[in-house]
Amino acid sequence: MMKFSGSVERLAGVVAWGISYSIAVLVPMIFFLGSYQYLRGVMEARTELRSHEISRIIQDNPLMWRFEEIRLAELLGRGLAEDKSEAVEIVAADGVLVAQNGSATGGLWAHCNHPIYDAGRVVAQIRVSYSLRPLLVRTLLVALGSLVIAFLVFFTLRTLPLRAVNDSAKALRESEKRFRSLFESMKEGLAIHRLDPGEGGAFPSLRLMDVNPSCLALLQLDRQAVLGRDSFTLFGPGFAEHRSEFQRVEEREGFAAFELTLPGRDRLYAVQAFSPAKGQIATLFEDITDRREAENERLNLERQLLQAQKLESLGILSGGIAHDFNNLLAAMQGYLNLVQVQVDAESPAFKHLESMERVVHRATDLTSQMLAYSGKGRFVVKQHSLNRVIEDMNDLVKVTIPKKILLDLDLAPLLPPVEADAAQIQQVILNLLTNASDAIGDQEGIIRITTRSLRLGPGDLVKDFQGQNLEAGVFVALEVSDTGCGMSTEVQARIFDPFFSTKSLGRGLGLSAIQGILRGHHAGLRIDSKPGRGTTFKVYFRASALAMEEAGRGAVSARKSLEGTVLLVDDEVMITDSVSAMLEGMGLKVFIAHDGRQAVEVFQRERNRINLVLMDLTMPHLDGLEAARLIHRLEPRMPVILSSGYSEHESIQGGIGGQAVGFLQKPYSLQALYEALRGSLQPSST
Amino acid sequence: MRRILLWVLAISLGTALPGLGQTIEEIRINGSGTALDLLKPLAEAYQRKHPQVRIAIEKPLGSSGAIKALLAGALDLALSSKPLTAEEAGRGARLQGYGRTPLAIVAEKSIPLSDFTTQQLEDLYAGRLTQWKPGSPVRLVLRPQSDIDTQILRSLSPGLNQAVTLAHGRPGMLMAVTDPEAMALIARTQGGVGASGLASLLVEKPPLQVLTLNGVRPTTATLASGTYPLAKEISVVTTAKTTPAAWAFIDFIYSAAGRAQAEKVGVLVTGSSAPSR
Repeated sequence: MMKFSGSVERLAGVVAWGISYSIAVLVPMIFFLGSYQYLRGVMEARTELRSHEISRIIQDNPLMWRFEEIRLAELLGRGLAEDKSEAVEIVAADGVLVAQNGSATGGLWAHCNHPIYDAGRVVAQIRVSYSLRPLLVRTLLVALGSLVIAFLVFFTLRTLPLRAVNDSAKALRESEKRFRSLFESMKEGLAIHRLDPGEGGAFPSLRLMDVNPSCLALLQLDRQAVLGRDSFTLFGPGFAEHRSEFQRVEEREGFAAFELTLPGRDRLYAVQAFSPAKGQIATLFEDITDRREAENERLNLERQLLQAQKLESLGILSGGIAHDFNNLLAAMQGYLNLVQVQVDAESPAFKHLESMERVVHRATDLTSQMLAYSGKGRFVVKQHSLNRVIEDMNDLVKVTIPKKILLDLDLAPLLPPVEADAAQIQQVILNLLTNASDAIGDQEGIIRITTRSLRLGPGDLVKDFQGQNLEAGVFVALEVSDTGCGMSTEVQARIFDPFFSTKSLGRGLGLSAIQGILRGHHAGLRIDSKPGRGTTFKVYFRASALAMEEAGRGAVSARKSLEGTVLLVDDEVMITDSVSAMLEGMGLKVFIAHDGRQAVEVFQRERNRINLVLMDLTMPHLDGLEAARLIHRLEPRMPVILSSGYSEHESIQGGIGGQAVGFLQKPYSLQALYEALRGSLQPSST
Repeated sequence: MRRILLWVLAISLGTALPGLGQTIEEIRINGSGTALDLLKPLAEAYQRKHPQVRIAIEKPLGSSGAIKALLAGALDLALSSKPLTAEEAGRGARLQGYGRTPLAIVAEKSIPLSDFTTQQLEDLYAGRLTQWKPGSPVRLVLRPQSDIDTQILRSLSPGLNQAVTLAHGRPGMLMAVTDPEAMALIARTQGGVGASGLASLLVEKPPLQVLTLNGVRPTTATLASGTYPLAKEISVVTTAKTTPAAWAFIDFIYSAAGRAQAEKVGVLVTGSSAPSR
């Protein structure tokens, strides 16, 4: 830039000098020469004119013409300049001066001679002399004026344009510095290429003209190694694919954008190409690897969030339906048990009642599935050996899997226990086996159930269990693999959607229920499947920190009459009717309330008579937990048994559940009710 | 015998051809136009009296030209209206006054004016008088600056001196070099006016009207009385080479007969005697 400014300064100086010199020297010179030529022309014309007139005088007086002094003097003096800058003399052929006007002495004179004829014979010569002094004086004045003008021109040309050039150069320097700084410090790689058009229709070639440090880092080369080299070779075949776009960009002043992976670099770059000048292409390389990964992760999270929201809403829906159905079933169970008590066991109707109870149990299973899907199912969370739970299912499994399919159990010994609901786990295993069997179909195949323990670290959870809300620690893995048809990625993306099924008769709730159950148990799930290569479902239960307790199977106590008064609280009249009948059947007195507020009022009024409160949780005005809290404020030792169509786990999340003496999951049988009451009420003495 | 024969032949030729025995003497004279006009009747009278003398008078060279020609040997006698310059005197020219003739203001016949005052003359030369009457422009004929007529006019008054200078500074003025040319030019120019020696007017008799100056007619009488102010001197210029024939002619013009002849053509002869040789 400095070089450019210096050359412009020199050029301006040379131009200014040239023009000024021309004005100072050439103008006076041209003036002098032009004026001199004009003077010569005038001299010659006047001389010739005078010679003609003198010739006429000679013709009039050929003998004595030379003595016609006045006439000749008048002729010579005619039109003579008054400043004595002109001298004229007539010299006869014999050399005698005949006449003269003025004298050409002193200074510079221009002379002009012309012969004077008498009938074709030269008889004399007229000589006109012009003094060059006036012309020189005028030329000097012109020279002085030209010098002044030349000085002004020099000053103007040297100063004003130079100032403008300096200002422009300064602005250009600052701009260049600013853009150079930007060029050098920008995070994106920037390369400027020279585009040489291909000859004879061939593709153009690109050669690197300049690169910034980021681009050199991207290429992992130094500047000298890349400048002048073929750009397509440096940036690889992926770059060369866009050579026609470069040509179009250079011709039409648009821009091209594409993504590029450089040879040997596991990074993805967004490339923008544009033409900063004729015959040049600039390419901007932006590393979008991290951004693309973050974008994919964000999309994945969005998908999971959408799935979770979908499941949440479906869970709410299914849970609500299951809750209401459980209330209905609870009433039916209650009345059924009452009828069973009242009817003789030998009666033919008793069998029908048992059949009816089985139907109620199946309906209860169905609502349990719905609750399991919603994650609000009835959980009886205890420590279990996963191996034992599987082994206990052996008979059930045999009738579920066709004979062509070999079931292979690979159960690791000495597994830590898991805290889970055994029935729910069995439901999970049964659904997975059913799916595996369906995947193998009528073909021969193998289903393998494997258990093992392992530790999952934070990295494993982030990598394989995103969105599953697991905590690092020891897990017990249950893997169900098959040699079936496998699943495509698209199918895998939808298998947990409710009512999505690849089977013609499938309900599409199996895997949805599994997902709900596992979420309820805070268990993890992974699927490995490829079309034609089978599928493996891997379920990870958190290992219990406590030692395994052998659960004793308590004998069913025989029902005896109980003594006391129970406050039965439920907003469903059919529940209060059936349950109050069951309680009265046990010999108990019953107060009924239909919401929490009424329950507290009744309790305040009859607190001395009430021995136990059987409280539904979900009620209007004041729910069961709040009502129980108020009752405990009045009577801290009052036993309260909670009841709900939801699971105990879900129901007591509010905290007060911890002060309850028991929980009854609707629908409950007469026996279950009796067992729950027995611990808090005294048997009747009668 | 032979000698006798030669003598007889000579006597016979001298007797038979008396004319052949006389040599024709030519006297070459030139000078100012006015002087030559004066000279013409004198020369004719002299030649009648002396037939062996032929007086050659060419076109007037003017006083300076004639003196120059005289000094160059091209003339035998010069008549001048101006005094000698130092150079001319130095080269051997000798001047002897002869007479004076009035310098008359003359005009073309048609102009409606017979008298000029000095003021009018000044207006004429200064360019203030531009027309004789509406539609009749004044056309002044000048003589060269160095001509004696111009100097005589200048001497009339300072105003006229200034006016003459202005007239010569004006471009496109009519100019006549000699007296005959001046008379001819004035005569043929509509509205023409100028000056001319009275002798020339009387000898040449051009178709001009002679105007009075401040009411005074230009005559030898008014000149002699001093009432007419403008006069041209006429002098005889000789050199050591002036021939005897020329001297004889000079003697004639200074003689009573010559004086009388000169008076007739308007010259007031002031020279008392011929210059000494």
